[in-house]
Amino acid sequence: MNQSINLNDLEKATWVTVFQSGCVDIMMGVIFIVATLCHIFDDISYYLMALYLVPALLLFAAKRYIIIPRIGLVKFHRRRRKKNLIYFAIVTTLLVILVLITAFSNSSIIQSKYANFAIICGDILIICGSIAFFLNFNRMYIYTFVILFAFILTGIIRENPGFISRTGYAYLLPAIVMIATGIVYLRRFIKTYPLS
Amino acid sequence: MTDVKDDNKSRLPRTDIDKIIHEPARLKILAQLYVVENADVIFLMRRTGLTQGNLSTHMSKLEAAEYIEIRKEFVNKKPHTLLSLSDKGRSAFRSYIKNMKEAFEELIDW
Repeated sequence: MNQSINLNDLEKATWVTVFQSGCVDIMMGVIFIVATLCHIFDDISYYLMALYLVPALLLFAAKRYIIIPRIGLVKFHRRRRKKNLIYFAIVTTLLVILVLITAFSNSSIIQSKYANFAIICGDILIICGSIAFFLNFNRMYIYTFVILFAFILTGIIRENPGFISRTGYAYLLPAIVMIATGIVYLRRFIKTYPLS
Repeated sequence: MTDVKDDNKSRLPRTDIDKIIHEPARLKILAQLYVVENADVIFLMRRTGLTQGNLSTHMSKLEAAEYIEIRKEFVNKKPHTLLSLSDKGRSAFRSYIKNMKEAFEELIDW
């Protein structure tokens, strides 16, 4: 036995198996596609909202038919669940604070539209970055910058309407990146863990 | 006389290391179960790199020592074996870590 066992690292490595299959990435990508569809077809977006169930159903099906038969089932320690709950509370509080700051920046006190734009960029960085940090979901750091880039792209499209008129199309970029990454990870996962 | 006996005892290697846990495969199983609430056989096989037969043998030994609890159930008409660390197993694992740390602290190179 020449390998050391660090229980903290072991717990973290066990937790990270949640993101190993790439299904979470695909689900996030589908959420962005649904968001884009709702934005493009805004006249029927009320009905399209139901499509948000698709990523949830996809993840449920993937867990049942792909993940569990291959890597089994685990119930995480209550310490981890408590930690996740605290992280969720922190991220939600951050989100509320940032929404308030953004709303405040929209008011007459801060007039510059660039200031508003910068604040929303900061919101994206903080929220997505904290999700990546707290959940040990390293790929989320890359997605944070892709989402940020997509948001900047919406600003550019809005300023220069031409070939692409709808700003929502910009969010197809993170969707494509997430789904492509997810498929690569899923393929690797299926190869590494064949059905026994 | 007592002093000499104590002195000799302190020079001998420790014998209070739990041999059930000290086996590498069982140590891996217990370490994995220590950081989760419960896990099934497939998960443990993947995480420890043990074969089903090997894992089954070690599971039996750990169950006999009452260090783990094995629960069998049916999920979608398929048999499903869930393993969790018992309270006795958890405290035994903690004692093992403590004893091993102390053993290595006492170990002086020459």
